[in-house]
Amino acid sequence: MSVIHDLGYQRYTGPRRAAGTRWRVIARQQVASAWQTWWRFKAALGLAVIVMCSACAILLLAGDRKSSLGRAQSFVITLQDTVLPESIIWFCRAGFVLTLTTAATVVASDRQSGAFPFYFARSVRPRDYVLGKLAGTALLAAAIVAIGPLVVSLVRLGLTESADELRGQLPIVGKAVLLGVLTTLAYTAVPLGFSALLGNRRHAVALWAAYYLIAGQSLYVLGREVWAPLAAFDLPRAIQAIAYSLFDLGFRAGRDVEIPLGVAVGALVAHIVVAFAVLAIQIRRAHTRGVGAA
Amino acid sequence: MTPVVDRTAVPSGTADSGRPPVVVATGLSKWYGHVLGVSDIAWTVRGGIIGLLGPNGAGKSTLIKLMAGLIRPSRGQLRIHGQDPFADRDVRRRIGYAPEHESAWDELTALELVTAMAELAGVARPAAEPAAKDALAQMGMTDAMHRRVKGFSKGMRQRTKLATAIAHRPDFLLLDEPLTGVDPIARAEIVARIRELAVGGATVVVSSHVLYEIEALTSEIAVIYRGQVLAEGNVYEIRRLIDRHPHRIRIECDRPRILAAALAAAEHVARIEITDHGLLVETREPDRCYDELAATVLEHSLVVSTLSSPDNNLSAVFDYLTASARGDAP
Repeated sequence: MSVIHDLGYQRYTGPRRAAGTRWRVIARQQVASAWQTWWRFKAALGLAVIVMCSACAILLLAGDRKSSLGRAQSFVITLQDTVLPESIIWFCRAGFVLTLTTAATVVASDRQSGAFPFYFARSVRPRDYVLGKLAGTALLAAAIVAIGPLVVSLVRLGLTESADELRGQLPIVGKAVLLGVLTTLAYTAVPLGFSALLGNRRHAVALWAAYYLIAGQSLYVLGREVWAPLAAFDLPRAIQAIAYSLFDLGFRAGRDVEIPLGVAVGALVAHIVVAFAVLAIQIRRAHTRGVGAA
Repeated sequence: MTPVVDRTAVPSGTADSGRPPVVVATGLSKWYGHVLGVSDIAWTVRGGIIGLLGPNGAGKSTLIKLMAGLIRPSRGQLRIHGQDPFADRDVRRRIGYAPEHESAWDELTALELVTAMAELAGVARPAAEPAAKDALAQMGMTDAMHRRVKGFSKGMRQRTKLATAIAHRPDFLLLDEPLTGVDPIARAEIVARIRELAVGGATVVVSSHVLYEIEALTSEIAVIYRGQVLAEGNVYEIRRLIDRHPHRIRIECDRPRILAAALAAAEHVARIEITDHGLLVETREPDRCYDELAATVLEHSLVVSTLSSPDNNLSAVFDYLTASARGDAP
């Protein structure tokens, strides 16, 4: 007959991390993991920094020059006032690079590498996982698509020459923040949703890239030729349209497709909501059906 | 005759431990669509190290995942420390799980990975890093803790994975094939550490299809075959229950024919084979046979150089059990 000797092994009884904060660990881990390699995050960050520095340089060098954007419609607008909304599309491109290396692979990588059991064998709920991955990816995305516009807006404020002008320009900071938040959400939730659709990271990235580049461009062309609101389903165009509307450059759309603000916001919100739903459903399904059960 | 295996019996060595059961499975079944994972398992674990044995695809990993709370039973009930591991997250704090595969988060250092896993298991942030360092030290990974997992050998990955399982100091460890790919020196260290944990009071369930790995850890086993618990308890007691196969005893002595003549008359002896240096006896009552052997040796002043039982080991027990279950036993 066996005997169990109790020689004092004690399970952990020290202070415990609150269950509701486990998502922070996942978010931190997501950021740390992305930071470790130059190509996952730093490449996109480098691109965003180049865009930001270029925008700031243009701001500094522009002086009182008028922008060519308004001439056709007899508007007078300084080059400095168009730099921020014009730069958004470039920040979006840097954001897209990030999605290819990180965001669009997050869930698929975890499924492929068998990381789910590591999470769910501990007291982690599916919602902790979803929240953690969203927060971690959002932090990374924000560094690419939100910080840059904010810095550009602050530089623009720094170039004001009087208190009245400063007061007049103050709203651009809020607009830059709003734009940054919307862009961050779009470049976080949507690729994450795609990453949850497939269990293979390469396939997930390919699907996301196809949607972003091919479907997006196709919808934009259809919008231009057939029905303008369709163009709003091209993510960068929707964000650009919001930027132009926020900075009163609506007339700029005359050169492209005129996407009304409401439609652009609606398309962006629809993308985010659908992606979030896909992410939540897929993770819950994986958890309920049994992770790594093969 | 078929092997006599009492499935309702509490594993020997744990029945009288006076401990409440750690694992209680009742009618536990799990299917993946039409594929059977485990079927109608009734199993109780009270402590110590239990080796979960079975061929590939027998259901070992499914049973471990059920106990880890990763998958929900299709039917039946499973309780870990009296709680449902799938529904009750609190009980998972008491479980340390090392899955079979060893990938994920290659970009992190071992310390970062184990710290994060400790935090996810509920250890407060200030205590997580010391706990992770301690766990890595226990697995002999102190020197490599600041290196990225990406550059680790398979054995180092295994040890890091085991560190993630013990960092939050659980009292119930589930180790799925923990020694796969580990070099002999590291294996000995890990085996020693697992034994220390169990001796200290932790309950450890270790799965493997490599029998000598389990043999190095414990003599308490549960044999899983085609999703069912085929046998459970002490390996030697299980061997005694298998009466289809006579027990073989190999004796090397100076005058084997005298010994053979003395044993030949015994009813329990099924067969005697005289070899160059001794004899091989097959008996259905090993205890009685050993008594008579001793008496004959003393009576004739024989010089015995070797006495062994070649099939009184885990490998033979496993082969006999699975062969019986397949129906291809002689």
